[in-house]
Amino acid sequence: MKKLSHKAWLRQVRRSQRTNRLSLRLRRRRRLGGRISQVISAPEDFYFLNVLARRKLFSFLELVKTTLAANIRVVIDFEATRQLHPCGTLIFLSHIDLWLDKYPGQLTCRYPEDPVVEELLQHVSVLSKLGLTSRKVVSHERVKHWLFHCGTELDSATYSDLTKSTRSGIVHPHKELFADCLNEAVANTIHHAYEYPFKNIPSPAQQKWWMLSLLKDEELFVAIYDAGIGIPSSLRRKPRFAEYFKVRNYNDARLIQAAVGSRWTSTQLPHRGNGLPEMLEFSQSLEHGGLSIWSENGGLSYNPQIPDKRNREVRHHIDQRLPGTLVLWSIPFRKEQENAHDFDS
Amino acid sequence: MHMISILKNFSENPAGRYVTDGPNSGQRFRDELLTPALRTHDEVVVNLDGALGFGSSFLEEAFGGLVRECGFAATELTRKLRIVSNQSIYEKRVWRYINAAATQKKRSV
Repeated sequence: MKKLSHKAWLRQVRRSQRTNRLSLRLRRRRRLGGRISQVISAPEDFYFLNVLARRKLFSFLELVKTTLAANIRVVIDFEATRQLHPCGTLIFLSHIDLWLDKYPGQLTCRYPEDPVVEELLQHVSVLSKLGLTSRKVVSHERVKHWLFHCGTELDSATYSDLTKSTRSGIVHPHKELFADCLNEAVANTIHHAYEYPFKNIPSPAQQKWWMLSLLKDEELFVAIYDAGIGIPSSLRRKPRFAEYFKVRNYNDARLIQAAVGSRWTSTQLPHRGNGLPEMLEFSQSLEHGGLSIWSENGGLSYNPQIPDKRNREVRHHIDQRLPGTLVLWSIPFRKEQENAHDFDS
Repeated sequence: MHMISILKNFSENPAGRYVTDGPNSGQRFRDELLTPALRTHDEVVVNLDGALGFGSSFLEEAFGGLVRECGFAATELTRKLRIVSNQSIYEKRVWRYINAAATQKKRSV
């Protein structure tokens, strides 16, 4: 049996205490014949890349999950929400799909106070999924350029609105390869994210990829997420490499770096598909922007603007475990007339 | 000479390696269009223009798979197959995948 660290043990004890408290509340309410629901406030900022905002977002997701697991209905209150970033929003959107699948009829929400937040949550179908009617016309500059897609298979027609509207505006010597990279990133998810069974694996219908993109200030942001096993765990379980990693005890960030393969090809370490290496290769020719990959407790970012090539890749540790893999891509974009029209339509 | 236009005869959205990946995979393109054409014609021209990207797994499975799965030799393909594309990078990739599959096959024999 795996020995838990003191910190992990404490975390487990707290989690079980919280579940017990919720169950107790549930039993009391049932005895009194009341309707069991709990209002949970959504965070002010749905942002993954900021440490503090990430902590709040993950606490919120954990609280919703625990409450639903205790068989208590959840009403998400968006009153405090002011900022939605593609990274944090995409993680939230994936969780909504997973929760609705696992706990049907148990999740609803209240309209946000901020009109732009409402418009955006309506635009990415959160409000309708949670049972609220759409009251807004999606027209705000900060909303209409968001595109949301998801799927369980690789049908690039699903996100062809993104590839069509951005193909000529991307600032890159081989801009046509952008769509190839997207296809490979999604292919990666299909081949590797749900390759092995793991604890809390989503049902087959929810073994999805989620993609959110945003064109803002001449920059194209693309976020791709899967709720799969995570890059480090999947590499550790590959029979060919399990021994190698057992001896070396690499942390999650180093395993992500191995999967991306930028510095590892000569050592014959495993690639977890072509998607991430190709995205990195594409990013190496960007004027600015960059790429970051986050999975479980690690992250790897690549910044092409750093003059010394050796320092462009930075490994990160994250305290809160991110289930699955999140890829964040930022690409310079010139909004030419043709693109502007495509995007506005 | 037989012409195959990826846009007209297959899809604007080719992507993925196997038929289990999605509807417009490299395996489907190879099995339904490319292989039958190469078996019945002396020269096959594949026009890759008009598609919204491919992805390396599509191209590798479609063209590298001709050697790996369908028994074509790289020399035979050099003689029979011609790739047309506005983006020379795709043509180079196709031949790289064919040659890599041929090398791999030689090693495994």
